[in-house]
Amino acid sequence: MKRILLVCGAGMSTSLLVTKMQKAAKERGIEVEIAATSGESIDKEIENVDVLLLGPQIRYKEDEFKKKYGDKFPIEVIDPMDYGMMNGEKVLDFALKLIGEK
Amino acid sequence: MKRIDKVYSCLKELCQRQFAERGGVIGVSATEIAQALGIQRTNASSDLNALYREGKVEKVEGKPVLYKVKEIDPGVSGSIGIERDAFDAIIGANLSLKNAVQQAKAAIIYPPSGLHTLLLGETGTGKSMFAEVMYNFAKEVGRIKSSAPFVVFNCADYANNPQLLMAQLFGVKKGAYTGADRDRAGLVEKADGGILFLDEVHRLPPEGQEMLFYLMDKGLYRRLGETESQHKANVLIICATTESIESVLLKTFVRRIPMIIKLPNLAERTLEERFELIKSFFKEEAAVVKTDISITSNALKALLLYECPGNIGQLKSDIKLSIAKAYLGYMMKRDDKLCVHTEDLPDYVRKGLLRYREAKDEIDRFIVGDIIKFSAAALSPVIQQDRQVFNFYEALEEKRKALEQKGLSERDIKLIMSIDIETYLKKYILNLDKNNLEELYKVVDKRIVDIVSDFLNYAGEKLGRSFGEKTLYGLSMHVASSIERVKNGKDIVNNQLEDIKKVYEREFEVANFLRKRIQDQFKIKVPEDEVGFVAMFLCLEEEVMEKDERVGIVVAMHGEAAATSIADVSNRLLGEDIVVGYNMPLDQKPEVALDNLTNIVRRINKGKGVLLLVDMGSLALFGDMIYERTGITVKTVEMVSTPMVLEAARKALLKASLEEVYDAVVNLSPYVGRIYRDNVNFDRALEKNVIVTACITGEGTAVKLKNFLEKELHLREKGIDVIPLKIENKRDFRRKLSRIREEKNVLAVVSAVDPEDKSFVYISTSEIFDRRNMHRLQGKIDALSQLETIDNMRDVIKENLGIDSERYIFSFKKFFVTLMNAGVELNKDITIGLIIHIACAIERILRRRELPLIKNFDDFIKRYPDEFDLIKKAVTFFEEEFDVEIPNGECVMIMKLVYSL
Repeated sequence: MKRILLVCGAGMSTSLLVTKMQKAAKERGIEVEIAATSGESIDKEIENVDVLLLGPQIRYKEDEFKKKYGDKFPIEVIDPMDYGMMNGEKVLDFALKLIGEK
Repeated sequence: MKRIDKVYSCLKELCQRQFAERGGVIGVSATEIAQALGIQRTNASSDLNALYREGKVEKVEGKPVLYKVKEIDPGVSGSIGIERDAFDAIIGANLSLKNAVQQAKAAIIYPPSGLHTLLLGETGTGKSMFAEVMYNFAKEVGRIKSSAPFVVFNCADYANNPQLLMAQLFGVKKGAYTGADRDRAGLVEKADGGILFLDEVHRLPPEGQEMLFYLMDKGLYRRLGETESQHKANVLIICATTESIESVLLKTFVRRIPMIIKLPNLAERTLEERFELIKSFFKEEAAVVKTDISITSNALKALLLYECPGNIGQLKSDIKLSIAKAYLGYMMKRDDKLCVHTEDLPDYVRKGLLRYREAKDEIDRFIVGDIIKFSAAALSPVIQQDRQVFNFYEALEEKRKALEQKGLSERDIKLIMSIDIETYLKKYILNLDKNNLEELYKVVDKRIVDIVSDFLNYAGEKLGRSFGEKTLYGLSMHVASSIERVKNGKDIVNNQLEDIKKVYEREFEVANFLRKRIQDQFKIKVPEDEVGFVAMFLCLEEEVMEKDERVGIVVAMHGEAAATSIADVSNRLLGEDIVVGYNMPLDQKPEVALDNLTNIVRRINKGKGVLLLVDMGSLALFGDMIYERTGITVKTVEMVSTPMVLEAARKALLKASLEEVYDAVVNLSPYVGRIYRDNVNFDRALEKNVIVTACITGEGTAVKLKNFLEKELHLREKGIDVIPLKIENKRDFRRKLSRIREEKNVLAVVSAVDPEDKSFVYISTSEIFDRRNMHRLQGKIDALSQLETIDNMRDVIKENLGIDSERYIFSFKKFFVTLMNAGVELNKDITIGLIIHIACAIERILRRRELPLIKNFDDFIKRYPDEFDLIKKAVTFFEEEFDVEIPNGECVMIMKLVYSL
């Protein structure tokens, strides 16, 4: 099963988005694991990740993460509009597309 | 008799003969003289040139060059002077178009069948009109039959389809191309025996040019598709182009067309001609709308002086547009006559007034009076003198009308009007001088004066203050006009009524007494709105503090000596040492000048404030900054001139208040007066997001700030409007702000006066002034537009989180503004993240759920103590709103997000 990991400062606001994405996946019948974590504990969650999405508020960490994991899986920042609107559908599409390109 | 004299008398004779035969003098070529006298053409030519140099004969440029005797010569002038022909109708035929007219006449009359002509001139200079007049003239002098055709063709019309263009022009032979099912005549054929006018001839394709030249040279042409036969056509061709004569395109034309006539730009024509043009367009329109049209002298001046790159054509359409706007007001029955005011003019036309001073002498010769009337029938404009009586309601209505015409919504108009009312009232009171006072009893019913006098005594007792003469007279006149209005069934609207009731509660109550008296005495019903106005009158007096001291006058100008010399002149003329000059050398830093001026203001202020007269630039913003530093009221007037300084000093010597001195000076300069009076200057509907600029030192500064901010920060493009305010004091400021906030989203307040309201982003005037702060301010403004983003997040919060989204967004805005005022710039990404993050955190705290742990957050507090303090302060808005405590660990998390740590 594919695994999508979302990361933000505390893993709190992304977990809100995660529930929305999970709901969208369920409606579409897509089997996928989606999780959220904080910037600090990302190292523990990194096993088996297929795509890593960053909350726009920690865009400044993008380079750091890319340097660390860039060769393992795609890393992108979530579109601020989708993030702000908690648009699970679109963020899920975004993640799936990135996995597809892998 | 010398040869040269013979040449002269021969020329004179030939000219006279031309006039007798043709009704006009076109001129004579050297060849004709040579033939008549039997001499060499070169000799005739050199004699003619010598005569030209002596000033005895005139030259008509063209090919060939023609000569004619000067009109001043008694033998010819008398007869030439009275000639009346088609060209006389052209405005400027005897002024800037004189040469062009002479050339055109020559071109038409030149034997045997006239000269083909090229008209050069910028767009809108009247080339088409000129060609048509040439055609009329040709008919008049019998060069062509009265039934001869005048065919007009614009070569640009078919410029992207040369084949079609050629077909139009020269005609088509059957079968020339698919669809050409029969022979068809072209315009050349239609113009046979008459004149063909080819506009924008530079758009003619090369093959068309060749055919045209062939036609000019031989009088022959071929239809499209014809190879064998040729057609004859006797056509005089007039071409016109906007291209410059040097352009490559025109080289061939210049070589092959014998007569080239250049029509001058509007700018090259005299003001008198321009006035005539304006007059004729007004009369034309007056005939169309079937009513007289008037124009204020200022509007007329603007029309005479503005830069008009589209020349006469543009002038005409600008006039039409302005009249149409004025007509709207007339139709709505606001004006009893159709009158064009400056606000009816487009912005760029109004700018013409800026050039008034340069052209003053010339213009004042033919503009007399305040209103100039053009009637459809009358030959010259009728001049009316307008008596300057300031009517409060009229002023308000005029303002309303101006705003309506600019397309503002009803709500926006109400908003602006309510902000402005006090300014108008003040002006109304100030406009009363001694002369008006004496006339009071002539104008106002004695009963009214008595009632008002009684009332003011009563109000004085109730409110514990006394009212001066000015209030008595002002209020009497005002009451008289409002009774008049009520009787005539006109509305009295006070857009500030609700505010007045709240803020001036006592005055409002007292004012009700007057209402009762008037209702009893005059048997009319006085609306509550009027009571509001009366209450405002009662409050005005309070602010006009009279002290037996003089207002200080400072002149500050760029340059080494300009300011001190104006100050010197004024002081010497008045025999008093009252004006202080301050020279600001060009290399002096504004900060230094500000320091120096602040000291001067401190020194000369005697408690009555200081009037600062400046020339331009940053100096205009100093007044507010000096006020900010010293608390001394400073009013600023721009574009200083010696008469303005003299007037200011004169008024100050009479111990007038700062307000009065300021007003007198502003009214002296029509332009400054104008821009200051229209202190709320919008040309379209107001945006939802606004920035408020405010000043206490004269309307000019707020308007200046508005323009400056709009330009520097590209606010228009961002959909942010700036509302300039004139404020009296902090209380007044807060009241106006709260009124604006009811309708608009106030992004920031820029002023020397801090409204001390945490929910506004406050930027002080001196911050703006320092250029180094500009990028910081830009950041602030950019961040401001995020307030909208924050609003948009309300629904998301409501949907996804179990907290009161309304209250949350409200406190988040305060949080956000606090950070911004502390100089923290947040980009959109971070803002969005913060909104969701903090909402999640509050939800968790409320539900007593655990917050994510931040490792060694104490280290962060130690490393960033200032940042932490700020966050701690900013989150209190959430803590108070939701009655929770946000733990330090969470504050560190927020701090990490805010500063991207």
